[in-house]
Amino acid sequence: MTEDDDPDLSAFARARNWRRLNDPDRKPAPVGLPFTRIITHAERGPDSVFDFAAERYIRANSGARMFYYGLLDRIAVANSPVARAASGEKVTERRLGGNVVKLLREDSGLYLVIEVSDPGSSGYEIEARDNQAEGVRVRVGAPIEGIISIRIDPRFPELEDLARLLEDPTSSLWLLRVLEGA
Amino acid sequence: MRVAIILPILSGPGIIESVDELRHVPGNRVHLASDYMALPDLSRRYTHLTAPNGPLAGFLDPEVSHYDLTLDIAPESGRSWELPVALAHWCLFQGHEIVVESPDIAIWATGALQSDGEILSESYHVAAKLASSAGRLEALRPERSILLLPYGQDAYKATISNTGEIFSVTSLDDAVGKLDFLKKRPPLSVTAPPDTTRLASRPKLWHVLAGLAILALLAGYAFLQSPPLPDLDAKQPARSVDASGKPAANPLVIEHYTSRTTYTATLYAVDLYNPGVSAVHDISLRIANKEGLGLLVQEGFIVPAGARKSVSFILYSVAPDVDSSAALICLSGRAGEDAAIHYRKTELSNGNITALSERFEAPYPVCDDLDFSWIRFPDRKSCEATQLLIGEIDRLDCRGLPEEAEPAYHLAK
Repeated sequence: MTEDDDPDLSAFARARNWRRLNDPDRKPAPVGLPFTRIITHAERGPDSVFDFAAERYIRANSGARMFYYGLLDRIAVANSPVARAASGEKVTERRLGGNVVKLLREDSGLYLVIEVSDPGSSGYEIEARDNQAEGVRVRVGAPIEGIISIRIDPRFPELEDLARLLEDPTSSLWLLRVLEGA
Repeated sequence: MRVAIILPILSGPGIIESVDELRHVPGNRVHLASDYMALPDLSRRYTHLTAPNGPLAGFLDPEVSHYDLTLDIAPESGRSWELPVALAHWCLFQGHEIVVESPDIAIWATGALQSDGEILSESYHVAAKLASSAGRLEALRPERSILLLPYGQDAYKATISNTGEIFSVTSLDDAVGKLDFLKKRPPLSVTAPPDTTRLASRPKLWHVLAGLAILALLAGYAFLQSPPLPDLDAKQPARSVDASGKPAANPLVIEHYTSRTTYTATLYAVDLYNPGVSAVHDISLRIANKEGLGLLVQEGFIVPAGARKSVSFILYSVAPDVDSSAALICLSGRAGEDAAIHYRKTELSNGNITALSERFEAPYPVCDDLDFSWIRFPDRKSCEATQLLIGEIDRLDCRGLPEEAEPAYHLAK
């Protein structure tokens, strides 16, 4: 059983999301942003123009965030709302459906390894969001023999952000498919 | 010593930035210093190069499972980058350091390697590569420059006589022979000693080992446009099992070096000579196409004898330039040895079988004795395709089968 089909973990994620929705300290949300912008933002490709207004709206407005997360749940190949780990414990492996995301330490540095259950040639992106909806979406490319491996190179800050979020058991992950050439 | 390896490619003078050992990360990867994502085609070919039975086998640390190769420029086509990459591994094996500046030695080499380490005889555009990389070689200011030209390209020697020491080489062994002054240790033995205990206890099993792979019904025109997704059985990564029933470390992966089209099919493995025997067999094999390069199994694998549908694997298209293809691969081998391979393919165009059947000879003529009667074909087309594959080896009864069945795989949408 994986995180995304574990009823206890799903219930935990729903409760967490409900708390987020009712957080009295949340920032006031910008108003007037149509939800179609959120949809477009969720479905953006690697080369799409990044909609900063939509991103701010998602981070500031709990309802927009839940809507966005729901969209990602639907379009993602697999997702993991929360890690199976004790609070505060760093995780180095997350299961997203039949896919496994790992952080492995080598002499030459930290590596992100994704074991993809579908060895098709399409590329993938991975999106990670922490409790405050701070997050990153990173293109990770196509699997080679079912494996995507990427060195967490400090020259690419988004990779370091992703590694940090992967180690955070409370972060949510989505594995997204990218059409080749997109 | 500090060694710089120039990667002469037509678009400019490349250099090998680093070769990092991976002891935990699965898979080999080739990537550019300017990008974090691996280059799929080069990575696959790099996997062939660094396979246990590949040309680099003698100077790879057996404790290192994979490598991460960083280049500054990607070769746009061809495989002439293989010799310099092989030499980088050899230099590391000899305890030298790969650097991109202030080297003691600069090595300029170009050549595509066959699986036995021979350099493919083809046009390497040596003049253009020399012209594009001369500046970089000079800028490195090494104490010593070695240029290794593929045999037959000697005509260029005169034009570059003041660039460094120039040698013609025919193989990787020949090339490292020219770098003898860098040699500190001999190559490792690449042939594992036979398991005498098991040989003694089950001599027949090791003498005649047969696996049979039928990739029937790889027909389908969509293969060329979009690779099929794996069938449900293949969703789990392919795993063979060892004697204790635990998954073996590496699945069987057969690759064709030029094609990006992947198939997922099922390996029907059966010890046809010892039916019912529940032993396991180690097979390490290499499949050569007519250029002596192609299909290469990167790892040894274990097939439970008697199993008929136990191992799934990924096969890269054997004939990317036709509508579809099917391949028959007969495996035979002993522990620690390359297996004997008979390989044939058939092609289908517009639903009709075109009578192309190729056969590549192998040391052990095992296919001729195989029995195919146990195979259950989904339809007449796959049965006839297989009949064409196996030719006179066996006579299949294709009567009574439906004309065409739904394929067992799912095509990519």
